[in-house]
Amino acid sequence: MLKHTHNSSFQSHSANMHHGQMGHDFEQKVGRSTRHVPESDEHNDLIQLHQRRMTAYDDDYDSGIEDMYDDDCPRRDDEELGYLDSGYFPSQPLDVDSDDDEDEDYPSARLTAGKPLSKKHQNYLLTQNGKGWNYRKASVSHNNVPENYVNHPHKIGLSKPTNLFDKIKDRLCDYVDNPILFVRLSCSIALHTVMGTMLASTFLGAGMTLGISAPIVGMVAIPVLGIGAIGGGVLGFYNDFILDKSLLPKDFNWLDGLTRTTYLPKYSFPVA
Amino acid sequence: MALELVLEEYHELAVVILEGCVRASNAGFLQNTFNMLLSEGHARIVLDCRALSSMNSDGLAVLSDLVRATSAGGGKIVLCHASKNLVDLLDISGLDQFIEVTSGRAEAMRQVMH
Repeated sequence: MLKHTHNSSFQSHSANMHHGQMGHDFEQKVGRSTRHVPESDEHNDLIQLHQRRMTAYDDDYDSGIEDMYDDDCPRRDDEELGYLDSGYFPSQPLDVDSDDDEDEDYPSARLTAGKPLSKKHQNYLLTQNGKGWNYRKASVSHNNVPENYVNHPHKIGLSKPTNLFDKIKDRLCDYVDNPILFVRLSCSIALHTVMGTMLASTFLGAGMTLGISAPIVGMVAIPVLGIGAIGGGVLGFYNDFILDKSLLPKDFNWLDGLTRTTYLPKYSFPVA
Repeated sequence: MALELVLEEYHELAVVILEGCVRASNAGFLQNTFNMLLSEGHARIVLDCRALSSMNSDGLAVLSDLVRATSAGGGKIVLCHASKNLVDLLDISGLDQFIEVTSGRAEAMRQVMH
């Protein structure tokens, strides 16, 4: 026995479109259709209204998007997209522009949520309805994510890439996503370079104090300072880029408290 | 790795099945999806994490925002099929005080409606 479900009234997006037929068309486009849910379902006291599938692809998966495109599914032109596509983000200020310049092959809509969005933050949304796959390229931003989390996306938690190459690639993606990490890395290298140079200078000064002749000290000064500077720079790079829990085994954290000088407080969750 | 969301809507309740990785590049997408559900009146949300492979602090931030938003709207969120690592992650972040975790989806749907 089947339960017949029904479409709910379309509310949240209706302000951005005309009433009547257009609303009906939109529901068809986003896959909101009448469904039959078996009564034997484990949550049979609830009536499922809609089911949607949405996918955010990373930029690395552009080719995958093309492969998944079904030529049998007619592409929608930009005029048809209009405000309809923006319905996925009703909480955002809706200012949808057709995006012909960047990619003429695919219909796309840019959601300007307060500021222009960079291309690297564009995600690809793939939606499925009864007619097949529809996809589009939409720009989403981190506007709703607190700044602290955007700036310090330390990898924690669940499963991680298994080999070092993937770990480094994953880490590089973080740096690409968050340019401020590059600034932090530069600061870390600069700080450690200065520290290394100062340490080498201290040894040279101690040598002169102990009576080593000036020419000898002068001969070794440049190499020692160079080694100190380079060593400091390498240590800074290691500290910021390599010494990350996503790149190292769990038991390799003995240097964590000694050399991790540039990390700000890592996790503070503003849960009211 | 892409993040794929399957949204199932049951009047006030919505079930979000997360598949893939949540990280900085798609946290905004996830946040927008939650905002969309909330604006559509789905204040009670079940997150099915059986296919969630990884999550970074951006994902936790989105979860914390979702907790705040659902609480403000008189709603609730419940996780189901959460791995031990994810449970540990919620414990470390303190989000376990605000997010219920259940083993099965049916139980989660019952919990979220109470």
